[in-house]
Amino acid sequence: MNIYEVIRRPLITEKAVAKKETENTLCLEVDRRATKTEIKKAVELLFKVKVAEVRTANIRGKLRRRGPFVGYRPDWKKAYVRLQPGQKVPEFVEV
Amino acid sequence: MTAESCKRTLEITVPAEEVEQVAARVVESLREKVRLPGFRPGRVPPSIIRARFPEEVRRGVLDELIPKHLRAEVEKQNLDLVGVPQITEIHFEPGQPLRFRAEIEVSPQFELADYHDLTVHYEEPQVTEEEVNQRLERLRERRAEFVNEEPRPVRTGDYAVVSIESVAGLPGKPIKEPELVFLVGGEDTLPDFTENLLGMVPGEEKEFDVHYPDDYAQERLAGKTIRFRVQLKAIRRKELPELNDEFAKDLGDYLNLEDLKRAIRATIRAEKEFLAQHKAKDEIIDQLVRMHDFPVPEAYVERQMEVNIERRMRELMAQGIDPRTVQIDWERVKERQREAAIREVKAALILDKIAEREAIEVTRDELEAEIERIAREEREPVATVRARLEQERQLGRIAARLRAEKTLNFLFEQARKVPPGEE
Repeated sequence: MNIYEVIRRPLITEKAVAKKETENTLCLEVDRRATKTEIKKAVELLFKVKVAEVRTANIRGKLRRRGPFVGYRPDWKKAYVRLQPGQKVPEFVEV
Repeated sequence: MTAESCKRTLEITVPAEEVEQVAARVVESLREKVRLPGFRPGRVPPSIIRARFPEEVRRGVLDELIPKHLRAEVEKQNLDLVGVPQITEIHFEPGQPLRFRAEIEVSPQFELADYHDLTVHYEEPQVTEEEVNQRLERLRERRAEFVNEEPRPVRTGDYAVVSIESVAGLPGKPIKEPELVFLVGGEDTLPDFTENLLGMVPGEEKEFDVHYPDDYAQERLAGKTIRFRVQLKAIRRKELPELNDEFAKDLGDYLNLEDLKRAIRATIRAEKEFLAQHKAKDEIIDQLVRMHDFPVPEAYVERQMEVNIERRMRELMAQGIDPRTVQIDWERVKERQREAAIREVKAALILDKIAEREAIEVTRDELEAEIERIAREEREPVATVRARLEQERQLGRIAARLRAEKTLNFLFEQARKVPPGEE
């Protein structure tokens, strides 16, 4: 899998900001097929930082209704990427 | 003193710590308002705010710091700021001192020249007997009555009462007037009418052609030759009232003819005096402006030009012309009276300074009297006018104008007066 397709976008939420500031950890939405190893490589390549640990979680798409129609948002994968101590955390700005 | 400009340029720097403090406050206030997905309202971290809303933060910081530091600098240098400062070259980078340049205009500093020894052309106005009589004649004309004459042929100087009907030569709706009055041989009567009316007797009917000149005021008729059927209905004579005490009493609160003449004389005198003084004061202003050479703030000139244009527009409006419909390039008109505006501004500044030197003040009563005058002019209750002026913050300007007038009066009183025509 193309390494540039692994990371889909950064998550910018209260929780993500808190993790970044206190735990040296990035929160990302990643491709569902990506493995922890791939994520580690992608982060190291794109952000030029050393990764200590990657944890992932598969998030189920939420149920959405629109009138009589019922559907789900797409499932996705979330990755918490802890950087090695002393690595400066990249800043991302919402797109 | 030569014309060094009123313009000043201030370079102002605000220390980084102060900028940071204000920025933090601005961010804090934004935080309360901002809603971003992923954050509860009011919980967005400052770092995100700065990253997402740099423009808002910048504006907030500049809006607070620029006026504050500009004012402080103006005060420190003891400048008399006029107009609106132009702010340029703003350097605003996070963590760095804020720098900007302010281009301002200051009220000109100048020394008063000696204004005690002015000479103007002025003479107490004289009213001649003839002028009074002329005015009396005009009053008589206005009171004239028309009396019917016994039937006889029309002579020059008669007022001919006719019914008139156009029969040919006029396209469209014919003219039909049951009663028109012509002064036979009068300036405003077309020669064709005079000629044909002469010799007619009341009751007589006649058809004749009338040629209207090309520049006739009524466009429909101009340049046409029209055939009219005219019947003479009566001959009238203008009768002027006799000049006697009765006439005087009729006109108003006059005891007798002498009294009326006195009043007329006084009116004419006042008119002449006003004109002569106006001219003399204009001379004074000319001299003052020539005696004092100093630069004038562009802001004042600009404002004066606006005021003048506005006055012009109001005058047009009073004449029933809508300034927007007339094809006038107001910008050009404005530029053309730049010189005049500079003169007026200079005069105002000089008069202001003289007023200060001479401790000329406008009293409450004088201001009150002026408000009453305005109220009379506008036919509004005094209280209404006062409330309006107060609301529009015009009172200060009125007071300033009164003060300038008083100062000018003072200078006029002091000036050496020589008859017009002499040096």
